[in-house]
Amino acid sequence: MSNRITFLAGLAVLGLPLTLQATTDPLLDDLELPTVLSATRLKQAPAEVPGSMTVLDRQLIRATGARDIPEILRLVPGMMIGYRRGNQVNVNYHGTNVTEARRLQVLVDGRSVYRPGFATVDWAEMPVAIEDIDRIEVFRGPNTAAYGANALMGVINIITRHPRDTLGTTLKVTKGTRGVSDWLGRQGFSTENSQTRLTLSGMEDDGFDSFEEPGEDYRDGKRLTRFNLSSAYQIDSANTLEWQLAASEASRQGYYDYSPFLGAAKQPLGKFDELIDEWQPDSDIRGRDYALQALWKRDLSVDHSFQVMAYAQHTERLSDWRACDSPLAFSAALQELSDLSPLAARRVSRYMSHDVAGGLRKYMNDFMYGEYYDYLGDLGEAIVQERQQYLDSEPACFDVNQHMRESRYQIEVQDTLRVNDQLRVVSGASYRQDRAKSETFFGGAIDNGITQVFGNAEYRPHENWLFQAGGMYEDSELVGDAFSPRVAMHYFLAPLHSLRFVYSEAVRTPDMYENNVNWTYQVKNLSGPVTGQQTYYATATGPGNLDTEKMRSREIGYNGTVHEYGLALDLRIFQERITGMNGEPLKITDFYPNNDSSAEFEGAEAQIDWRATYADRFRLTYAYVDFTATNKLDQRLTARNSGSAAWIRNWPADIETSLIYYGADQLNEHRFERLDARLAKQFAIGERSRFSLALVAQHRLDDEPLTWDENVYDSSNHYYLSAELNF
Amino acid sequence: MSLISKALCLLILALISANVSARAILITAPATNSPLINEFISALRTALPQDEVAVSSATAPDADTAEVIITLGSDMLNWRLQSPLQTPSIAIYVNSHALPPQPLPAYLHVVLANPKPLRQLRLAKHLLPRLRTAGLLYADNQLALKDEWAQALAASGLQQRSATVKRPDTLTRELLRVLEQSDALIGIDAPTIYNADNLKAILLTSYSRNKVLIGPSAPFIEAGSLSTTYSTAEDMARSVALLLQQGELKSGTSYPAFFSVLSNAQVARSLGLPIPDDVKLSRELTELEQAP
Repeated sequence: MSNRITFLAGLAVLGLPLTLQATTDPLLDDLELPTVLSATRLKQAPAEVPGSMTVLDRQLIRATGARDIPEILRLVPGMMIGYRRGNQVNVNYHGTNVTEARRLQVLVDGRSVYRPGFATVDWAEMPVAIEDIDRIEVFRGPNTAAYGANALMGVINIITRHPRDTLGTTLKVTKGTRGVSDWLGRQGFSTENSQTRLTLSGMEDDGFDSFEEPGEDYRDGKRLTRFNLSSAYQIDSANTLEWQLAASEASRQGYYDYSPFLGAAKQPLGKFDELIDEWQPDSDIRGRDYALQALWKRDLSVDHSFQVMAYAQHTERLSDWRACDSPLAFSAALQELSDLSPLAARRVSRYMSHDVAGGLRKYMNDFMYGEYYDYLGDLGEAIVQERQQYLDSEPACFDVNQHMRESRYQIEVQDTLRVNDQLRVVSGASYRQDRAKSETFFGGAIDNGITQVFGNAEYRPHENWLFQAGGMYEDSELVGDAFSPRVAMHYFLAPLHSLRFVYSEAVRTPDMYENNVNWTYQVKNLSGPVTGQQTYYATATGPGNLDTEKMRSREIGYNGTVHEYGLALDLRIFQERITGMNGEPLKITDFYPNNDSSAEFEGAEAQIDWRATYADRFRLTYAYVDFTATNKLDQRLTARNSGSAAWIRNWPADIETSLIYYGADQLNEHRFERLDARLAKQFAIGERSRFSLALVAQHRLDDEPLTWDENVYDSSNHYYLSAELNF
Repeated sequence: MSLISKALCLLILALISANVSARAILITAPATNSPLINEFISALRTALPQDEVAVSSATAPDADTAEVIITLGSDMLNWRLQSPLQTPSIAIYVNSHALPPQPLPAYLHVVLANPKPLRQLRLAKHLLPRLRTAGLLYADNQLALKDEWAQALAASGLQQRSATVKRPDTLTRELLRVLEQSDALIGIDAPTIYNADNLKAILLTSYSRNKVLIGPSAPFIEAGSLSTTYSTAEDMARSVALLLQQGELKSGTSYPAFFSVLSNAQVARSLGLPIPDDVKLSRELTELEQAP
C-alpha cells in the first residue's frame, strides 16, 4: 500500500527514450494496453534512495524462521533488539532508551502502529501474521521529511502480501520448546476484479524461563489471536481500492506492578511487614487492537497518480489488580510532602524501611542534593511518627488499574507527478486525530490533532547526478509545529553504482504520557485502617511544555549492484546528533521529563547481499556505532559492534536450508550471539497441493542473559517445527 | 542493425539483383490509416529498387498481373486464401495464433509477426545471465506452440516451468505457481492470456516478486514488460526482400530475418538490472543467429 520511501521510479536514462514507432498499430491487433509499471508506480532503484535502506524480502523472512517481526529485524544493520521481558520487545535503531523505543516509526501498509499515548510500539501484539508479510522495508536514519515526527531514527514499513498472491487455502501449525504453539489458517478468494484474503492466526509461548528460583517460570508468557481481512478491488483500469480489517486479542503475563510507598522493612518490625511482603498478586495485561484502513489509488495519466488513504484504529491495554500499601499512602502529610518534592517522599520511605543511622533530617539532607529544607524534614518526621500506629496493622488494600485506550484516525492524500524526464514531485497532506484515554494516567481522555504537509522533489539534470529535496511541516495541537527538511545528492559512478550525500533534520514530538500525564491511582474498594481522606498520595504531572527532540544527521554512502555476479551492496558512514532529548525514566514517583539530554552516534554500516550461485545466497551485515549520551539510561542499549551473516541454499528435491549468525557485543551490557538453522522440505501432493515441514533450531553461543539479568532460558537451545499445507 | 548484417544484406541484394529482372509486386493492405503500412511500403521500395511495387487497398484488388502478392494483416490474408489465384504470395503481419489451418496452400509463405521463440530466449539470457528456468503460461489448445517453445528452450539450454491456463479465473494461481519456480516470465503469443484485462495482474504480480516479463511483443514494453525482439517496418521489408531474392518461395511459415530489440529502461532500473542497450543487444543476437 502507501509507501513513501519508494515513491518514485528511476528516471529513464537520458537520451534513451522508449521508441515506440511500429509497436502499436491498427494493422496488428489493437491491444490498447494500459501502462501498468508506470513512472509513478515503479519502485525507486536502490541506487537512488535518498538514504540507507534495507529490504527484507520473503526469502529472508522465511529463512529466519522467525515467529515475530523483531526477530527478523536483527538482519538490519544497526538495529538493536532488546527484551524487557519475553512479552515486551524493544526495537531501537542505533540505541537510546533500553526499555522504551520511542524513536522509530513503524507502519503496517502505511498505517502507523506507533502508540500516541505511550510513544512506543507494541511489537508483541503486532496484528499481522508473518506469513502475510511480503517484505519489510527499513529506512535506516531519520526520515521525518517523508513520514513525520517520530520517524526520528528510522522507519520500519511492513508491507503485507497482495491478496492476489495468497489465493487458495493454507493451514499451518508450529510447535516447539519454550511453550511455542502457533497456528494459522488462511483462505484467499477471488472474483473477476477483486481478491480477498482472510487470515486467522494465533501465537503462544511462555517467554523466558527460570526466574529467581530454579524451576520457577518467569511470568512473561503471551498468547494472542489475530484476525485479518484484506481485499483489493480493481474498480477500472485507472482506479483501485484496497482495504483491510484487522483485530487482535492478547493476554500477557505480568508481575505485580505496584511499588508501595512503604514495603517490608529490612528487619521486619511488625505484622504489617509480613503481610505486605506476602502480597504479590499478578498483574497480567489484556490487549485488544482493531484497525480499519482503505487506500484508493487513481492513475490520472501515465505520469500522474493520486491516492487517498484513511484509517481508524483502536488499541486497548487493560491491566487491573488489587494493590496493598501502608495506610500511610493516604496520609495528608505524605501527600503534601510528595507534592512539594517526590524525591523527599522517596527518601522518607527509604529511611523507614532501611534502618538508616543518624536520623531522618540528616539522611534527607545528605541525599537530596541541595533540595532539602526544614519544612520537608518536619513533614518527614510527622510521617515517621504516624507510622508507629500502623506497625501491627493490616495494610491498606485497594483496586487500581493501568487501563489505557488509544485511538487514532487519519486521512492522507498524496500526489505523484512526473513533470518530465528530469523532474518528479511527490506532495501531500494529512490530518490525524489521536486520543488516549486512561483514568490512571490522564484522569480521563486527552486529544491531539496533527496536520502534516509534505513534499519531495527528485531532479536529475544529468545521468550522473541526482538531487532530491524534501520536507515536512507538521503542526501538533499539543506540542506546536516543526519543519523537517532533507537534501540528498547522488553521483552515479555507473548506472547502478552511486555515491550519496545526505543531510537531514528530524524531530520527535513528546508523547502524551511524557508531556501531559496526570498520573495518580484512582483508588477503589479501599480496605484497611484508613480513617481520613482516601486520596492516593502521589501524582505525576507532565510539564505540558516539553519541546520536540531534534536530530541532525549526515551520511555518505555507496550503493551498487553488480548484476552478473548477483552482488548488491550498501555502505555508509553516518553521524547523528539528537538534542533536546528526553532521556529521563518516567515513574509515578519520579517523573521529571525534560529536554536536557543529548546523544550522538557515529559509525559505519555495511550490507552485502550476494546470490553467489543459482542456489546459494549469502548476506552479511555489520554495524559499528560509536556513541555518547548524556543520560546513563541512553547509554546501554547500543552495541558497538553488531551484525549478521546468513547462508541460504536451495537443494534438490525441494529442500531449503538456512544458517544465520547474529551477534552484538553489548545489548544493555550483555553480549548476544546466536546461530539459527532452518531445514525445510516441501512435498507435492498432486498438481495443486503441497505439504511442507520446517525445523528451526536456535543455539545461543554465549551464556549471557538477553538485555536484562532476569531474561534467561534454561537451555541455550530452542527448537520448533512447523507443518504447512497449501491447497 | 549492425554494420555486419547491413553489409551482408547489401551483398545479398547486389548478388541477386544482378540476375533478376524487375518483378511486379502487389502489396495488398487494409484501408486503415496505419503508419506501419506506409513505412513498410517505402522500406520495401528501397530494399527492392528494381522491382515494380504496386499497392492496393481494395477488398478485391485486381491481382492478375502481379508476379508476387504481399498481404498485410489477417484480413488481407483471408482475402488471399479465398482468391483462386495461384500467384506466389507472402503474408506478413500475421501472428501464430491467427494462422489459417495447416497445411498452408503451396503458393503461400507467412512471415510471422510474433517474435521468434529462440530469439526471445536468447534475449532473456543476455539480459539475465543467471536465467536458468523460464516460466511460461500457455492458453488451452496451444500444442503446436508448446512444441516450438520446448525446442527453443532445449536449444538455449533453459529449463521451463509452465502451466496451461484453461479458464480465465485460474490465471492468477497458475501465474503464481510458475513465478515461484522460475526466474523470469517469458510471454508467448497467447492473446487470451496476454491482453489488456490480464496484463495488470501479470505485471504487478511478477514485478512484486522482482521477476521480469520478456515479450510477448513490442506493445507490451511500454506497459511494463522488460524487453522483446520485434521487427520494425524496415526490418520486415528487408526480411521480405531477402525471401524474394532467395529464389522460389516455399510454402510454410518463417520469422523475419531482420529484427530489433525494444526494452523498458525504467523497469530495468527500478529492479536494479543493467539498463539494456537495445542496439547492442540486437547486434549481438543477430551475430548469434548468423554464427555457423
